[in-house]
Amino acid sequence: MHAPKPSRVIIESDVSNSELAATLRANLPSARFEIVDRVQDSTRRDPNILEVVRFRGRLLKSCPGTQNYYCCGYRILHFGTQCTLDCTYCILQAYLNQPNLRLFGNTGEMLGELSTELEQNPNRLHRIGTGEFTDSLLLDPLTGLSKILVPFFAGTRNAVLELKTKTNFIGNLVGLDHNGRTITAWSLNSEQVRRSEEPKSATLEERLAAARRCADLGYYLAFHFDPLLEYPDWQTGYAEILNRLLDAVDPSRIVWISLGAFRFMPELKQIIRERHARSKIPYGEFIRGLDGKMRYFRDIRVELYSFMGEIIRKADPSLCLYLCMEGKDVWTEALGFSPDEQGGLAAMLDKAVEDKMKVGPGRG
Amino acid sequence: MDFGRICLSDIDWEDRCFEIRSFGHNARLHASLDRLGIIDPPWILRRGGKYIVVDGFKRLAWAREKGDRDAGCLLFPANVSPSEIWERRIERKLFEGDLNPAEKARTAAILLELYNGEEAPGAFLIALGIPNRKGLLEKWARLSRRPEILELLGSGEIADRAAVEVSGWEPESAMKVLGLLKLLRCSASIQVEIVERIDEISIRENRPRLDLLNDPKIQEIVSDKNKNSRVKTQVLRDLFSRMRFPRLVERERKFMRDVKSLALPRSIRIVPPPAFEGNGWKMELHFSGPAGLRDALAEAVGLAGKSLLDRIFDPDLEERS
Repeated sequence: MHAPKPSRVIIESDVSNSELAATLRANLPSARFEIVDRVQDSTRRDPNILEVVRFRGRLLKSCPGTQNYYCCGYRILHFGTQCTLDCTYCILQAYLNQPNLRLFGNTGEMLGELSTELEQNPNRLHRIGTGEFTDSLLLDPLTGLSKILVPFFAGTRNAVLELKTKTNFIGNLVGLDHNGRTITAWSLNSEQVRRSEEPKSATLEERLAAARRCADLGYYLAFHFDPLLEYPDWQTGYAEILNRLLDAVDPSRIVWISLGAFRFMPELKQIIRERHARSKIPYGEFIRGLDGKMRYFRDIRVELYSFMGEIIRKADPSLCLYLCMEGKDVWTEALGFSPDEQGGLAAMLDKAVEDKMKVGPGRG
Repeated sequence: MDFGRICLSDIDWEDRCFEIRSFGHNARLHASLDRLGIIDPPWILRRGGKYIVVDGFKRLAWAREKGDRDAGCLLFPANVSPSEIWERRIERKLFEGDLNPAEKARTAAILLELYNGEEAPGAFLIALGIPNRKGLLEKWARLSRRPEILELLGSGEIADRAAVEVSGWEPESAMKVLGLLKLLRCSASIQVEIVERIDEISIRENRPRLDLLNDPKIQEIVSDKNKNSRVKTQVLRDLFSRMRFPRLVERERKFMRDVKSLALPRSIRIVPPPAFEGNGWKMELHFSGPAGLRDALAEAVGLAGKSLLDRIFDPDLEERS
């Protein structure tokens, strides 16, 4: 796949002299750069536009979990919003007033906020990722952000970085001193779902090849089967991608695999119907969950998770497998235990980092 | 606009490009015209050598039918743009009072054209009673191109919202489902539910809507002479629910079977969480005083020893045991 090449870059004057702006100018020589006081919200999506703004809110956020389901306790390093991969199920489509690719030019402030957080909480492990409001690596060929973040985390004692992507843009990761503190992670799905719901993303072959290459470079790996979709003969599709994954990479490099059945804010249904009229994903058996989001009826979720869990555990029983935003009943029925038995989901994931990556506040 | 008397033979009666048709009956208007004549002058635009009507089609047609030679009209200046005419026309229409569905649909289509992809002003949408939701104006506009649906709407037996939903369907299935709704005589929200169910089942099952509507199971319910419209509506809703949510409905049925096999006393009711989501199960005890409460509690304790109780919580237990 090819990286996006925006033809127009709109930069807020506050960050027009930032390092990010300079990198973009160097990597996008034929793009038109415009400096404005403030980038205005818009309702028109234009994949040719890249906005660079000074973000004025918190740049390190907590994962937006809810009370009724177990949350992974992941922190989000907020460097930008939106994505041009245009997957049918993507929640970013619902951000109607900011539909274009947007980066935050105040990278220094972001790193400052991050440093403060790590210094103020030296006795805990920080699992931090960037792939919540955008793809972690989609714009990396243009921004080179990984060349800043990976070395930054390499120098920390109690933090790991997870870069979550559906691309194969790992070029900037080659040759970086990561010190075993970065997890490169891929969102995976069955071949059928990849073709119909995420056609602009890298092929599964490309993603697995990139994962293998990262493992060869010493990076740890993670995989997220999220969203899992129920469709006719889904078992064949998901068994196939799991087998491909387990053939492609050494499971001992995998820190965790997560599973998350498709869930969405109710308003996304209409958006999917309008923007992706051929997609059938809104027509599953969805009920309103305890967090107000639509989710598959629990028996379907249990079936999806049990099926995936069985294959993964057969391949490597020690592999850390977790469910994203699920409750005790579903965990117990699908995987045979609940995170409470292991001190909670966050503790379970911290332990996976400590065991696999040998990183933690108690280690040197 | 200038006032003047326009010779009716100079009007191009075929050109109805500014018409917002109501599909309604004209009896009240005609009675008023018969009594008092034209009070509010129609709007006219000069185009080429002729005049065309902008507003007042029925009033002028009445005058013509009556044999009048001319009528007092307000004449738009020659240099006025069509969009300016439309804006005034819509503004006036909206101030006249609630528009009927046909007028709303036509107005929606005009607004879409006028604003050419841009968002139409909220004030117009509020006056039209169309929520400012993405795609809704387009659906109403589509309805303006479906006179057969508008005629049906005029009967008052079909809810606007249901008609709007089917405006993009292929004609045969749209008319078929509207015919069904007319037969069922159910509330607007149930009409919309039925339309949405049919739409989603057909997409989910890759089945044409008409084929689904002609399904023998549906037809059997529709043509059952022993069921009144209320019962038919309920049976059809159940059927559509089973088709749309087969797993959930199956689990609900299993729950009912399991509860039945527990032979709960009448004082106890077990209530699962909505859609079986989460761990929020409830047990209700019904009693009328302390003695009743003691009895109910004793019966509840007795339940604890029953192995059948586990089945209620574990959907697979029956299959596994």
